[in-house]
Amino acid sequence: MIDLDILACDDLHIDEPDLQVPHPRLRARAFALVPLAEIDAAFRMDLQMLPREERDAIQRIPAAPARTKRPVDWDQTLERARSAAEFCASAGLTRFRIDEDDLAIEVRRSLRHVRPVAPAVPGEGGTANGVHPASNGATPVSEKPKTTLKAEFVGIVRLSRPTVVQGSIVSEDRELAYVEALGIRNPVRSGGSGRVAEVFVSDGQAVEYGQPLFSIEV
Amino acid sequence: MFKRLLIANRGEIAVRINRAAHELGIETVAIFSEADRASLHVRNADQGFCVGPGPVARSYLNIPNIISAALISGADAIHPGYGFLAENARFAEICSDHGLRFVGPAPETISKMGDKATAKSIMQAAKVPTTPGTDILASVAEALTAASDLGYPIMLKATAGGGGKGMRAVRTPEELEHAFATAQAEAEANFKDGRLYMEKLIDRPRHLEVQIVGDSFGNVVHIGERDCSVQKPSHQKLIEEAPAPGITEKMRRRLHDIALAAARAVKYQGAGTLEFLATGDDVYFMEMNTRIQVEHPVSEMLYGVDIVKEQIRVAAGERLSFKQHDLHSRGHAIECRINAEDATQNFAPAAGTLTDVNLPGGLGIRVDSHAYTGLAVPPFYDSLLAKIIAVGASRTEALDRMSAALSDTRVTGVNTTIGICAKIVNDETFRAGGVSIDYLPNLVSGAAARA
Repeated sequence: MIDLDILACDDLHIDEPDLQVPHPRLRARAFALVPLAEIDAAFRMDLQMLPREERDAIQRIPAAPARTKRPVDWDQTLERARSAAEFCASAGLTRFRIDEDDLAIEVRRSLRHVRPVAPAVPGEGGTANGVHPASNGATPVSEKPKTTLKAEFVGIVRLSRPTVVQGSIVSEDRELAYVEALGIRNPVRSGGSGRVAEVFVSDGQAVEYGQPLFSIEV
Repeated sequence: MFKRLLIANRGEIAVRINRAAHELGIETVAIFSEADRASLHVRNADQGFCVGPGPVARSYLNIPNIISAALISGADAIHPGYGFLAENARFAEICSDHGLRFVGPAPETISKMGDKATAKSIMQAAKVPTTPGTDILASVAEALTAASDLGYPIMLKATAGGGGKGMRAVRTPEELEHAFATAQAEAEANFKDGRLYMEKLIDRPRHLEVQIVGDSFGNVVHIGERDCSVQKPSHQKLIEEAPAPGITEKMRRRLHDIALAAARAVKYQGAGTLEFLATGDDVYFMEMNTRIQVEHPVSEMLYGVDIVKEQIRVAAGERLSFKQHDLHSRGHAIECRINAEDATQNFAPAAGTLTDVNLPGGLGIRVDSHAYTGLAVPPFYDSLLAKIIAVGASRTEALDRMSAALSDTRVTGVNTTIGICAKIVNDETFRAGGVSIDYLPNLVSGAAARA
């Protein structure tokens, strides 16, 4: 006999006598909720909702010792990005990302302009944790698919600096704003590079679940 | 008094609470799911926040978003209504952690009454008659001995139970071992608590309950009893009335006195209901509901008081606006629940768009509802669409008035319980009064057998 506890599975909601998903006591148990919140921000606010004794218990756990950051070896990083880009093209992928410790390498390939994938070179906006080959604002204007970023939480929206406006170019996945709820910042990320087609909210505005915040042309 | 009240519910009860708040001059904040954006409870409130998608776990049970909506809207209190978070002690605690007044009793009272074995022992200490039974049973052997002492039939119950889970009726010693194991496993699976106790099974009882309200100054009054014996096979109520027909004045007074003693034993604050099973002259405490109930309008119409307003008043620290001697019942009141359900298919819930809604009115008729023509009934929630309450000088007048009102009622687009309710209020057995909780299951299975 195996006792299997299913904590949560996407948006799945099951309420049957012998199976309840999400787990009915997930939100009452720090040992399940704390690691879950680390990998999924959607659960972070629930930490505030834990019963008092569970919350106190978390505070007694000493924080992990701060890791010393490895210096970035740029030659090696660029070489790896180049290999990643080649792999991305040869495997027919549009996006490929490697995450390790404090370094992430992400390459993207545009399908609209069939051209050899250029070696990944960090642009002026490039940082240690992101390498984006194709987004220098040089892409020709055409019908672009838009994605709407919506609020996942009820709270107050705060625009992150530098503040984007209509027409701003976002050169990488970055935080555009955060929704502050119960003292917790819930980041709203662009999810990649693109042009801000519309900003639906102003700084300090109250937002509800599902409210459109930004529209991004990818 | 509160300045702004967040109503953490939907449907007819959210509309009802919104009315009471507005009468008291309190602004209201609605919460809603994406499936309920067009619902009447949202339209009637002063402001509203979508708190999540349709499924209840992500919207009406989404505590962080509900608390956040209360804080950013500047609400100072939350009314939980019934169902959802109404009997969630932790939610009540979280409200107070965030400086919000929970309209209901103290979290400790909610958790004590929510645990059946604890509730029963508190009631026994207050000399409230409870069903003869046992404490937690350690083993099947102990259960066998206890059952032969009590006499079969008996009922096994999970102490953490609810909704019929972990419950087994046992009629012979041979059945007991298997029933014990399955009830225990079911309770363990559902509540992570497999502890069972045993009660004598009351055969074909009536369901009687007493409405009480208490304030923080120690005042507790009862607002009479209700008879809720017309229940679906799932034990959900369909028709409720007050006063309970066919009981003696002595029995009625006894019920009220027991309820007051029980409420005082837990220093009850707010509106609550003590539910009893009754057979002959015997009554047994079943459970206490620490919230407003669906059928509260029956008592309101009979006594001419507003129970939801009293709830809000006492939560704000005020005194009850009446004393026991101010309350007098007049005539008879009955409520029919109009649900989006198919009575011929074991009351299976129905979803769809209401293509035509005509609700009744006139002298002695009250309707509590969120329904209107064009409203889409989502599949996620309780199927209650409207409550029709009829009041008359006598029970006969109330039933005749209800019958006429039901024939005026038109709700199309989904199956409803209008037909089965009309059948019941005109049924000879029901009209005679004093039916047991077996009445409706027999009525529908009899109809199915004849069909």
